[in-house]
Amino acid sequence: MASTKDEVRTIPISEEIDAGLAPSEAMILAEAIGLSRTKQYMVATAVSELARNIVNYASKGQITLRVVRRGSQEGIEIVAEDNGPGIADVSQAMQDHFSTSGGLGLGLPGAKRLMDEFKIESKLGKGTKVTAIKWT
Amino acid sequence: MHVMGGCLVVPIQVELTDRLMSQIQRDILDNVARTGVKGIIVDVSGVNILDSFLGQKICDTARMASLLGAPTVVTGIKPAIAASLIDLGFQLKGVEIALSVEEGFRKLQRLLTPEEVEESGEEAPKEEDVEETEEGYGQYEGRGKDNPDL
Repeated sequence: MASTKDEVRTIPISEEIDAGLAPSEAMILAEAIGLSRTKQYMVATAVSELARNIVNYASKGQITLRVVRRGSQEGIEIVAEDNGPGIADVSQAMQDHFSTSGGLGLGLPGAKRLMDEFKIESKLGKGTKVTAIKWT
Repeated sequence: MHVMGGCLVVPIQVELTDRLMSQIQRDILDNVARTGVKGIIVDVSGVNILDSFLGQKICDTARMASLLGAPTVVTGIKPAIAASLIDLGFQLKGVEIALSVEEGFRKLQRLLTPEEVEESGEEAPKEEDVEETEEGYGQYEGRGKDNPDL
């Protein structure tokens, strides 16, 4: 399991099948660092939502999973990035039920609630990068 | 999926993909239209990741099936998934929930029994349907209290 924890995994996201792989990988890593069962599912669900956003808005991108440390505490970091159109109004995109793709509009705000730390950087025409951490 | 006691039982024991979920939706609606089952139980006890999109697909399927006259009960949602759905802000609207397939059968029986007794007219049963759904929801809240672990 030590090798699992030290690994940085980058998963390309481009279609449905990849979107399904990333949450499973996140779940395995979350279990390896000893996140509670509930937190494992939360991380996997957040990854799933972020992967969907990449597919829906940018067609493709990537999700990187790695173990981060804060003192003796470990956590799992998700970085979801794409070179898509970017988000015009980030604060609007962070509101529940706001969506420009006809979805439920729960992806970003939901992922934020599922994780402990959440940061979003977006530039119009350049892309979007979401960094989120769940601590043990 | 198989028919048991007049109900369609749909056990999902693999990780759901969008494609699979669309397939399941088609199969359920086909089956309901063909066999005229009275209710549907979708058991998701084998599902680990239920995000807002897949949850919505399940709700959509339930709503479509209810237009064909068959209410849906979703069973086997893991406590950890329930916690994730709450954080997501997602509500399983239009579906009944039960802990297990057995509980799901009982719930369907309760939903179906009054309907059979009060079969009159075309519009009236529809209104009854709505009331039954609300009744069912109340029962669900009651069950939640019995299971504080959820």
